[in-house]
Amino acid sequence: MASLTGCTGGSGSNSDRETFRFGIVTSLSGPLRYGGQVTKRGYDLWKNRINEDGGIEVNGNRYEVEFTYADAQSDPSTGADATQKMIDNEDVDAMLGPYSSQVPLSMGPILDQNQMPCITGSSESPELWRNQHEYLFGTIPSVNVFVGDVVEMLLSFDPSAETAYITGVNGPFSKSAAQGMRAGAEAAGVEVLGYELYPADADRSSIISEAQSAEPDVHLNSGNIDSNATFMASAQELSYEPNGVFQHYGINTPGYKNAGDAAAYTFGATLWLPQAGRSGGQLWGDSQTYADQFQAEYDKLPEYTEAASSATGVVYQEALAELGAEPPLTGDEQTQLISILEEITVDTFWGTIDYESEGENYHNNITTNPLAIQLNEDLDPEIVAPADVAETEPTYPIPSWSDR
Amino acid sequence: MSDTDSKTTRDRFRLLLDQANNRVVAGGLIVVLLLLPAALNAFWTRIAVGALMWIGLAQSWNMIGGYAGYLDFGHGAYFGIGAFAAGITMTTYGLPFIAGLSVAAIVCAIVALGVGIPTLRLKGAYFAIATWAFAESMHELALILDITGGTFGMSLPTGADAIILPLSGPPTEMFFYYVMLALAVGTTVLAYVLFERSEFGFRVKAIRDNEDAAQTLGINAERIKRQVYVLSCSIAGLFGAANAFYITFIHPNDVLASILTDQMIIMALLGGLGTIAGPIVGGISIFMLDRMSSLFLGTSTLYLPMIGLLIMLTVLFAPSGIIGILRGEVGLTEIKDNVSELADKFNFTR
Amino acid sequence: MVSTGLLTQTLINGLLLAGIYMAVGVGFSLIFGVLEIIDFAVGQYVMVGAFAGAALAPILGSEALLAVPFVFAAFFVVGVFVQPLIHHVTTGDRPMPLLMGLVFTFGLARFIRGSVLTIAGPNSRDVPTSIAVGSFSIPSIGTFPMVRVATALFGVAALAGFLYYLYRTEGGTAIRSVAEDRDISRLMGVNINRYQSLSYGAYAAMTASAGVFIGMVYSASVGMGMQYTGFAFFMIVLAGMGYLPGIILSGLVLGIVQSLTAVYLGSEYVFFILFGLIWVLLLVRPTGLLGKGEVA
Repeated sequence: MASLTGCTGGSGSNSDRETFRFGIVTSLSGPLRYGGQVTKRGYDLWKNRINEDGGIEVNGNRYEVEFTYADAQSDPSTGADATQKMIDNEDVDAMLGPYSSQVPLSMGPILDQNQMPCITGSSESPELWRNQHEYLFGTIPSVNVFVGDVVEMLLSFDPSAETAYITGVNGPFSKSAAQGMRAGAEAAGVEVLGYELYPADADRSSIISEAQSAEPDVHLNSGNIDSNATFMASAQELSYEPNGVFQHYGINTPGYKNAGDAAAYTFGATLWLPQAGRSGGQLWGDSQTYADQFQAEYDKLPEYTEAASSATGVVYQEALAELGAEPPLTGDEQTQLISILEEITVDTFWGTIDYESEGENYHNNITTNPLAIQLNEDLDPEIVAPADVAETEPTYPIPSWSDR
Repeated sequence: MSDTDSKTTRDRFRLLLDQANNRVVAGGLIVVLLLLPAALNAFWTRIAVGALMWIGLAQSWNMIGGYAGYLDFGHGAYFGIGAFAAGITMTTYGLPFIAGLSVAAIVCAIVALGVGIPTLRLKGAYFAIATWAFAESMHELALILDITGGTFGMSLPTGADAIILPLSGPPTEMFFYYVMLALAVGTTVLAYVLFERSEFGFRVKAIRDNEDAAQTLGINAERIKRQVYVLSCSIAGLFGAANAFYITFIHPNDVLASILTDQMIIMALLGGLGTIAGPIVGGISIFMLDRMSSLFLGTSTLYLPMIGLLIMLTVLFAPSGIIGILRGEVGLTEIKDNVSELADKFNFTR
Repeated sequence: MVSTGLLTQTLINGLLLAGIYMAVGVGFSLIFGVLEIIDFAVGQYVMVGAFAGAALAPILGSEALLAVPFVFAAFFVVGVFVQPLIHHVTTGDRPMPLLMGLVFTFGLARFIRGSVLTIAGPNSRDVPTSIAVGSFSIPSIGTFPMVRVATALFGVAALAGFLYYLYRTEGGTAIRSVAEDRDISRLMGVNINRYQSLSYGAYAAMTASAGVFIGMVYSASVGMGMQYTGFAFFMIVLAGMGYLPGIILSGLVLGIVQSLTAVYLGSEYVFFILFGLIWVLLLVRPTGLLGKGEVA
């Protein structure tokens, strides 16, 4: 009899669902699988944390969060099908997006057609925002914007660099990063001795030998974590010693430690670190609190992409509170949610998040200030610029290989 | 009525029934396929679009690989060339979808002719590696050219004006369903007529079974191989073009990936090589298995090695594919024989 | 900017790469000759070998070099038991044995890759060594990184060992006769199953061991295999299919073309040129650079 009452209590459909349901499309297999795991950890931590609190608070009531995942296989066409599945079959209220730009680029038109809000905690490629998808947002600033800023900081270290050599993997993200590096170098009035892109699988030794023979003051390189670790190991093997080596992405990730001792003193760009001293907003009072919880959960320090993915959850939380609608959201409410996301400014442990409402960074959050970091001898990242948040002076020029 | 007599009568009757059945089944199937989107939501329509595309692609590979016996390991290149040909036609020149489709087919035919003339002189593993190398070099080329968008890829128009048809609004899943349906049914009917119902088909199979013998019988093997190659490559190009407009974003790493060719081969082989039904069955089952696993298994990747295992088991024990099993060529006795033969190979003293 | 220092260093880089490729190409060429199959899984043996190195090194005092004998032995056994499966799909009354072999090994490659992804996760692993570290320089010639020198030495030694075994021992003669003609060898009393399995075992052992070294040079990652499959294809085409000594030349060409292209033409073009080269070479000279491969 008890179960009967349970059944009659509701029609069994979604209409009286008491939870907010999020659909997550991210790449758990294929070339982008690393990034897929990163976003997953960030999103999951937010879900666990908010549900511990009882859920998202709307009009004084709390609604727990549930996730449904699909593997985009790093493939835009699978990603598109997964998006449609979230909309039609899972009846989700909103979505959280994948790593990289390729998959979201195929998701964009479907989100727009079905008026389904989606924020990705983790795409840095500028071309995503140029397509101006109304229902797609991104928490991490375009890589070409922030990497250039950090490169400018680096090039002003004393003795200021006069020449630079730029290399990068010929991939959509790394090429944007390399373009950002070149823009930063040009803005700093530094001569670019070489600008070369290489296929992800190519051996680096000859690329490094060529740079070495040009004798630049600093070397700027872009690629994924593995590729950057290999680059640094090869630079050590060939005794390539510019005054500084800057790499993006991921010098403060565990994967970069595969370069071993060679990783020490590498300069890098980040948008967030536990010690960045960002504070405010819900769930995690400041960046350190977040980092501690992350460490407890996953036994590693969070990367900025993981933090951004969690912070994206906080943005949804605030936006849903402002919307004031109970789950499940109707189509109109989802459309209203978009206007709220456009207008809203959210303080979080990650920093202030404010999505652009026009221009070539449409719906991208470009307010977060980038930080220049350097790995110390123990391969821990330290903030070295800008001056107001720097923890320490940069070690620059970096010690030669024989002095380490 | 003697026993043998009844048997032949029954067989004749069954044959008659089969033929009639085939037409009825085919006709019925087409009606069902035409009405199908009415019963499906947008998501399941998308899945149907994907299945139709893979049926057509597997069938196009089956033409050169299954019927002509030339192991084209670079077939996916034409899917990508078609995608970019259509993409450039529609973005750079602002022409509608139908122009993109036509340009893709024409460009693929021309490239296939140029590539096919020298490459088709190679046989066996040599042809396989040459076509693979050609496809890989196309992938690399697309990553460095400007007109393909290089490593940034290319976004196609999504608006209503890209299809000059009396349709209002941007293209929907339904629109692409009928585009893919037309292409897939067209490819299948074409393959059936050409390879199963015409003299051309007999010549092609003669080349596959023994090229030298075919040539001494007066079959112009060079020309026929070239015709099959160009035809099958242009079809792959058409699907590439349709898919590009459908997915709206194309990148060399996706539309020129070697996995595309691999998938077509596996579908044709698992379904049943050199048959019409093989690529249909193989295309649907492999596509569904892979796509459903990735979309419904949440965060597990265990399906990836399982598909690998399935491929190995099929090749080991059911080399004529699912069609072979359905036709009764591969039954329990055959599998048992297979196992004992295999056990024999583990005897290292022989 | 073309200085001789850069040129010699580029050639050194290419030579050392050549040694790495020889280690992968030699076994692959052998089984192409003996089993008449193109093994799609070749790159995945490299990948699994690298992961095995990463897993074993911590137990062996952070020294992956010590893992090589274990990896070699383990994969020899694996290979011996995989070979009968491949033999089975390429013989009997099956249509298109070449295709069956290719698709079977493709399934195997997918199985290995998917299993490693599922078990080890997406992160790449360090394959540590404390012996093969640093580099030595010869003035006015260039720098030789130790880990790459070790890898190249392994490649050359493996190749020399293979050639010695094949051309100077009875077992090698038997294997070559199997490669020449399976049926006649059987009639002459050669133990086909045994020698085919030995060959495949040796190939799997060699390739996985090469993977440990490759992991030391770069790192172990799930996606690393595919490019070595590509390189292996490249090597047997250049060498002349089935002609084992040709691997020396094709390894050198592969290594040096790569490093010269990267420096003097632009790194972007490296793979485009390599793949284009295989295609053109197959069209104009299908028996390989030396003209000693099997005739198409």
